[in-house]
Amino acid sequence: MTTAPLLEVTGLGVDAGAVPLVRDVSFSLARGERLGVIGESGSGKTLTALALLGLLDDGLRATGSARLDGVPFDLVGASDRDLSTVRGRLAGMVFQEPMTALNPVMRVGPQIAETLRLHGTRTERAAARATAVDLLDRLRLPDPARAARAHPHQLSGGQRQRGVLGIALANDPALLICDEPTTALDVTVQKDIVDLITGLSAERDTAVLYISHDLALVASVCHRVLVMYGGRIVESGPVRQVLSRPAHPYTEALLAACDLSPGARPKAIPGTVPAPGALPEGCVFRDRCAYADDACAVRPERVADASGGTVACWHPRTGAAATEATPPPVEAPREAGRVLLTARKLTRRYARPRTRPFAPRAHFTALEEVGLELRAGRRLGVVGESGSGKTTLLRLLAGLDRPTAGTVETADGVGLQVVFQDPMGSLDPRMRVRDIVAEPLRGAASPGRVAELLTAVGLPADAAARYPHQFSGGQRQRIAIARALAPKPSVLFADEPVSALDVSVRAQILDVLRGVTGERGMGLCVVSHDLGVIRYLCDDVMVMRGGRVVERGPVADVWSAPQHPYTEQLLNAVPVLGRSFSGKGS
Amino acid sequence: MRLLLRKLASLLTSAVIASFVVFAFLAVLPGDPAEVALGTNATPDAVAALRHEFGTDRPLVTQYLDWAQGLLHGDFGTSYVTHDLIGPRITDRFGVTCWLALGGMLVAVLLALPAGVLAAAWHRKAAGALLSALSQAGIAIPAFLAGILLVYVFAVRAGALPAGGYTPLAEDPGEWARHLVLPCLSLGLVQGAVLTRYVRSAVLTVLHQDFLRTARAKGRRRRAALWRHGLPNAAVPVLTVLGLQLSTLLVGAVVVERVFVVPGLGDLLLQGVADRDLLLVQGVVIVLVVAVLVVNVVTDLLYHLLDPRLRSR
Repeated sequence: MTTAPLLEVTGLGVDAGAVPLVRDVSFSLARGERLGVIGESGSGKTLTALALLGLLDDGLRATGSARLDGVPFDLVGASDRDLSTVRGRLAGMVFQEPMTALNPVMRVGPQIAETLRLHGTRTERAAARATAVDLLDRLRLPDPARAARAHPHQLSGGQRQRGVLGIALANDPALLICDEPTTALDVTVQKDIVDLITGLSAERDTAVLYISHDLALVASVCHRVLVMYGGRIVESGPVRQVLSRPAHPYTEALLAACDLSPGARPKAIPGTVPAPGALPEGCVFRDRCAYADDACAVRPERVADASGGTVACWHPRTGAAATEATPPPVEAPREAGRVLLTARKLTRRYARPRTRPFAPRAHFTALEEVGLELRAGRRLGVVGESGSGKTTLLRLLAGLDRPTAGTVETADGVGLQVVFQDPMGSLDPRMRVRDIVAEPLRGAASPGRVAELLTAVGLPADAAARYPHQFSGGQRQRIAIARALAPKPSVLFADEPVSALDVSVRAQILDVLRGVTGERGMGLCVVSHDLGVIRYLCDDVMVMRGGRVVERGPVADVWSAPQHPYTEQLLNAVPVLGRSFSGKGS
Repeated sequence: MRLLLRKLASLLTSAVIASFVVFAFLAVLPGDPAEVALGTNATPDAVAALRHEFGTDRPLVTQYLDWAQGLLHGDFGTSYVTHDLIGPRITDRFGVTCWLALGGMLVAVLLALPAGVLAAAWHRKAAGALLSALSQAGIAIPAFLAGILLVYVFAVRAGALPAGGYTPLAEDPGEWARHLVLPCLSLGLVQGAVLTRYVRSAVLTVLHQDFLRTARAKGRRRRAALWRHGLPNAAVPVLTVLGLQLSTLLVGAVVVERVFVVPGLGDLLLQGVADRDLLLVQGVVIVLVVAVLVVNVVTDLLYHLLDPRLRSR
C-alpha cells in the first residue's frame, strides 16, 4: 500500500537570527505510521515539530518545505491565517507539560468544545460540549462529564494530559504530533497515555510524530525513528534496526549511555551537548565521537543503507550488537558497616485549611509510620510515584523537616548532606564554584581541599574560579555533589539526582555517586521515580505508595521476584529496550 | 456566599479598628477645639463651658462610643467650627470624589488596556518600545502638572472646556460632564500610564505560557488566542493593581481637586485641617477608609470570580 505520504518534509531549517538551530531535516510520514524523533536537549526535535505547525516563537524563522496531504499550501512560510485552518483540524499537537498546557481559568470541556466549533465539526454549543464528554470518555477518563466541568487545577497530571489529547484529537486529525507527552507523568500513567495514543492511532489510522528522549519508550510506540543531534538528523530507519544495530556512532553511544540493565555499565558520552552556535564544522558529532578522523571535517550526507535506513556518517557502525557490554566496575565487596541512621515510625501530616471558622482541621498524611536503617557502605533507593511520600521521607531523614511523630536518630559524629534534583536552582548564581564548595567547610577550607573535591567528582581544577552558569547541567550536578561531600558526611542523600539531566551525562553522575559511596564508606540514600536508576545505583530498595512502604529488600530480589502487586505494576510500566519494539515492526 | 460573609466580617473588623485608630490619633493631637473656637483671649470659664457644650470634657471612651454610635446611624456629629451637621457635607462631597475617581479610572482603563496589550504584542517592534517609553514618561508626570497642562491646552487656548468648578449631575448633566472631563483626564492619564506597565507585563507573561500555544495548536489565530485565552488570564494580576489604583484615586484626588476647584472630599479634608475642625477631619478620614476597604473587598471577590483556582478551596 504505497500511496503518497501524509507528510513530506524537505530541507527544514530553523534559525534564531544568524544562528542555525535546525538544519536539513527531511523525512516523510505515511498515514497511520508512528515516527519517533529521538534526541537530547538542544537537538532540535521540539523546534522541528513546532516549525511544522508554525508555532515557533517570534524570534525564530523556519525555512524549507513541509507538505501535508490535503493542504494546498506549504506549511513552512504559510500565513497564520492559513495555518490556523490546519492546526487542530488536520494536525493536532500534545505538549510536554500537561500542568500548564490548559487554560487555567476555563473549564476542560469547553476547551475541547472550542476546537470542535472552531473548525465547524460541531456548530451548536451544546452538541460540541456533548461531543467533548464523549471524547473524554473515549480517552478513558473516569466520570467524563465531571471532568468536562472541572477546571484544569482540579485534575491530576494524567487527567489533564487526556484533556490535551482530547483537544488534539477532537477533529480526528490525520497527524498527531506528541512532544514528550509523558515526560512529566508517573510511569504507570505514562503507560496508560502511551497505550491510548498507540491504540487510537491504529484505530483511526492517525499518523503520529512522537518526540522523546526516552529510547525504550519510542521503541514501544513507533515503527520508525529519526535520531537528531545538533539540529540535524544523523540516522533514521525502522525502530528495531536503529535501536538494536545502530549505524551512527551517536546512536550507539546514546544506547550505551542509557543501558542500566543488570551487568551493564552505562557509558557517558564524552563532552557535552554543544550550544547551537558552537557546533563543529563538518560532522556535528565529530568532537565527541570515538571514531572521528580527518574525513569528518567534511559534513557527511545522509545516505540510505541496505536495510532501509539512512545515516549521516563517514564511518557507520556495522557491528551486530550495539556494543560489547562493559561490565560494571568490580567493587570490593562492601561490608554493611555500622548503623549510621535509624528512623522509627516516621509520620508526617499536613493540616488542610479549615473549611469554616473553628472547624476541626482536616489532615493529609504524607508519610505513615515508615522506619528504616542506613548503614555505612550501603546504598538505599527509595522509589515511588508522585504523592508516594518519598521526598517527604528524604526531607525528614535529612533533617530538613520535622516529623509529626516518630524519630530519626543518627549515630555519634554522623554528618548528613543532600544533593537536590535541580542543578540550576540549587546553586547560588552569584558565587564562584570554589566558594560554593568551600562554604560548608567554614574556616577549614583550603584551595587544595577544594581542588581535591572537584577532582573527586570529575571536574577540572580550573572550575573553581568560575560561576555556575558557565557549566552544563551535568557539571552543575557535579558541583552540587562536591559541595555535599565537602564536610565529609557519613550519609549522602540525593533527591532525583539525575532526573533533570540528559541521558548522555546521566551515567557520569551515577558513577560519581557510586564511586564516592564505595570509596568512602558512606551511606547513600537516593530518592527517584526512575526504577532503572535505583537498580543501577543501589543495594537495597524501598517501594513506596501513598505514604507507606509496600515492599523492601535487596534490589536484585525485588526486581526478579516482586512480592507486592504494585511493585510488579511499576516494573511492568517501565518500557525496556529490546522487550518493547512496537508490534507493527518494519 | 460563604466567602462574601467572610469578607464582610473582615471588612467590619477593619472598619472598627480604623475608626478607633482615627479617633485616638486625633484625640492625642494638641489643639483643644474649644480653645481654638474662642481664640487666645477667652476666659478659662468660657472655654470650660464650651467644652461642656461640645462634650469634649467627657472621658475619651465615652466620646468615642458616642461618635461611633452616631456613625452607625450616619450621624457624623456637628462641627465645632461651623456648627452645622457634618454628615450631609460629607455625603455631598463624597459623591463628587466618587465621580472623579471613577472617571479617572475609566480614562486609565480605556488608555491602559489597548496600550498595554499592544505594547506586549509588539514588544519586539519599534511601536511597542515607543508605547513603553510613553507610559514611562506618563508615570514621571505628576497629576497636578498634567492637570495644569490640560487646562492650558483645552481651557485657556482652545476654550473648549471649563478650567475649573463643578455642576452637580442633577442640575445639568451636560455641564456636569464638561466640568469632569479635564480633572478625570489628568487623574486618569497618569494612572493609565502606570496601569499600562502592569497590563503590558501581565500580557507578556501570558504570551509565553503553554496554554496560549495550545490555543493556537487547536486552530486559533494568534490574535484570537490572545484575546480569548490570554486576556482572561492576564486580567487576574491587573485586577489587583486596579483595586489599589482606585483606592489611590479616592484618597489622592486632593491635589487635582485643588487645581480644578472641584468641591470634593479632599478639598473638604484640607478645609477641616485648616480650620482645626477635628470632628470633620475624623468624619472624612473614616469615610475614605471605609471606601478603600469596600474597594478591596470588591477586588477580592472579583479575583475569586476570575480565577477558579482560588475558588475551590
